[in-house]
Amino acid sequence: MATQYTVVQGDTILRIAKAHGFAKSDSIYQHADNAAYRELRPNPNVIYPGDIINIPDKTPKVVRRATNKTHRFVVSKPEVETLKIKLQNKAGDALQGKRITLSVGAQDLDVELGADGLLSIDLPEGTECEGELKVFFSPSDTEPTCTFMLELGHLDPVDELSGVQARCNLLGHDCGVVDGIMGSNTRQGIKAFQTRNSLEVDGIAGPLTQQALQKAYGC
Amino acid sequence: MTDTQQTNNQNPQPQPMLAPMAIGSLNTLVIDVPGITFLYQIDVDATMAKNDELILQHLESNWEYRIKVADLTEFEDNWVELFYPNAPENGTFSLIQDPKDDDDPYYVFEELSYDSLGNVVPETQTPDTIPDEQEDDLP
Repeated sequence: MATQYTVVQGDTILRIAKAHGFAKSDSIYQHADNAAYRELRPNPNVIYPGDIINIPDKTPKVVRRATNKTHRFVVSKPEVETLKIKLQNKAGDALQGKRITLSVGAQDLDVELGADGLLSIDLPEGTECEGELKVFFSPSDTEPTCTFMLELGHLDPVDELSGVQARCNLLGHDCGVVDGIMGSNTRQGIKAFQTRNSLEVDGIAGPLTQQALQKAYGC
Repeated sequence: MTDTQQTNNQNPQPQPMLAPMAIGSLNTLVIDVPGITFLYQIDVDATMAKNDELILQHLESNWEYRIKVADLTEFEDNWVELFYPNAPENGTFSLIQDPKDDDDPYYVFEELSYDSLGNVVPETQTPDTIPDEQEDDLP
């Protein structure tokens, strides 16, 4: 009998799937029982604490084969989670050539950003939800110019105020603490984003602002 | 058309910042790059100005940065933000508007020290009131 699972902060669909014995996120997200959930959360990578997800029954796959013969079974590669970050300046130019260090779980990267400013890293199963990203503006710097404490899987949907605050902060428009509470800092941050994106400047993250935030942020 | 005023220089943030991120989707991180920001008055929709470039030059080095008017977005009627990333934080600067057509480039300001950039033409002007030194064509 299908059960229900309540999402907590830091969950991803794949982690929920694996915790329930499934190898792939689609086994849960694309299941017919979660059609309404897909309407609510069209991006399976951005879910929200408190969401209810239906966990389907796990049914063994039955394959009939002849005896006294050799049969080949192909097992698909396990699904892997990937962290993708694009680093750019306020003018929208990629931080090409800047040195970046990234520590996530047991992995440590020390790279120079390419022309696209993209950083991508696979996250092995069991990777912690936290990481640290350091940006060095000058190759000779021993101390980072700026440091980010990454909270993986913690980005809330854009139609939640906490999701708006997080995206604004990471896009350089300071909303203060990501707490889901509308205060003067949040209003100023939203106004700054609206100004930058030629939107009506009212400090309210309505549908047009949310849409622009998703486009600017990437999800 | 050529009013400028410098806003505060942008310094990197020394404190670690919390960054909630999605796994599996793109996360864009905008870093406050040190640089110089000017507020500039120009009609970005004017056909004549669309091809213009606004070039900030550092006179003590080869550093310069070009911004195309066509890439600018007005945040208020005819006001735009000019951000010159990684500009040196000393020496002297010139800001040049290059029409990129038959007209000659001209100085918006010329040979101003870094420290005095904050005092550049704070009030609105019409072409008739632009001081002579700001209308000088480039040699």
